[in-house]
Amino acid sequence: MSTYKEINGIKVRSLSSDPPSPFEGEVWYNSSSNSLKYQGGAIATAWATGGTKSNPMFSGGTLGIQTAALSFTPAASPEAITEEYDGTAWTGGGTMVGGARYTASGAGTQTAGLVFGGYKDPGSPPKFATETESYDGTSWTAVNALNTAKYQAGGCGTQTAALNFGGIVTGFGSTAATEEYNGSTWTTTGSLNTARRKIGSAGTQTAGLGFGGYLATANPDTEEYNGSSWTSGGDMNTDRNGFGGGAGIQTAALGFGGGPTASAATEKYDGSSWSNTASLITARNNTSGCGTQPAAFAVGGGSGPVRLSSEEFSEGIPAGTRTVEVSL
Amino acid sequence: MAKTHQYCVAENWGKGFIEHNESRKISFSGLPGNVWQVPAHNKDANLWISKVLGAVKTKDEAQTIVDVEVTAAQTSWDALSDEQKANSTRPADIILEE
Repeated sequence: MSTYKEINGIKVRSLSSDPPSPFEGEVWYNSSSNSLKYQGGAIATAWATGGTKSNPMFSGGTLGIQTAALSFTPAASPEAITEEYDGTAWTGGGTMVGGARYTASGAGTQTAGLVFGGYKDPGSPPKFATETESYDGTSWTAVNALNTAKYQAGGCGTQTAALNFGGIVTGFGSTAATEEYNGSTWTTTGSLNTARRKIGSAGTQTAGLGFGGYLATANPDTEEYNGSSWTSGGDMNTDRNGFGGGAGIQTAALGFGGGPTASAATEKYDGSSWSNTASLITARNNTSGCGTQPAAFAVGGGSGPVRLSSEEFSEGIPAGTRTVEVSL
Repeated sequence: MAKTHQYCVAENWGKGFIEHNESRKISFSGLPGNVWQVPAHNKDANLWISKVLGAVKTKDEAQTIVDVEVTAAQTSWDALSDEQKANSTRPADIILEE
């Protein structure tokens, strides 16, 4: 077995401070911090395939994080089924109690989720849903309904502090209506500046983000919510609709996929502007998503046939000094 | 004209089918019909095709597979009611590159 010195020509040095210009792969011991360090190379941002769902997911919703997600209301046909993801594989979740529907919105986590609105079977009026239900990781419970029936709306926040904005209302027009949920009831609050459906969403009830979406055409508009009103943010680089979700928070969000022609484009938001980053492996219109900006999760969507697949995002790391961590 | 891409057919088994480390090295594009587009003349792409037991296809063969899937999806979409069509977009044709 080769030694470090045989490979690099020098021994692992003990230094009182980090070297000013270490070469990539160099290892040293920092005697001041009592830590073993090395100079790591850059690691690129990339998407990888995630687990494959049992049920097609088109224009539905997903909430949670990359290693604990929940998908609901897939749009192949109105469904009450849900699926849970553990970071590796999908398994069946609890059956929703508010009736079969598709393209509802959601907030929260896999063990404390909230799903609201949606569109019911065309043969079962009223078609536009106000139903809201909460999930505890096992079963769903009906709670107080939305004030405005809608679907293809944005959703973010938590089970006890959720935000619902935009979407399609009865008559199939787009709406700018926004509602806040406090864990018990929904209250109407400041409307979006631009009425939209299929809007991307991220953030919290007091720091929400809506992006892209569809009015007459796909658009790049971004709006930021501060707990009472919406203001304009930076435009996306690519006009898109067909978001069933986004990932992250208002100052660190990720938008991916969308339509009308299936897109693989991925952009990240820093609180003021969007920048392009690694594209999805598969272009997906009407995709759904959740997670954080550095660890987002894209589920379903379609580019031709509806997708069963998912993808996991991993933010890259710039070159730099790293500390070796040892588990005992 | 030199080939830029190569194509194969392989079933996506989910986690591990395309790893982050593989996606960092080469560009993947997933297409209908389990068709995958990766760079031509590329060692990492060839290694990945071997890993997933991909059946290599010419561009024309891959195009035929994609066309069948897209046409079926378009036919399904055309049969939807107007209400259902309002919820989605008609799948677009996909043209593969050499």
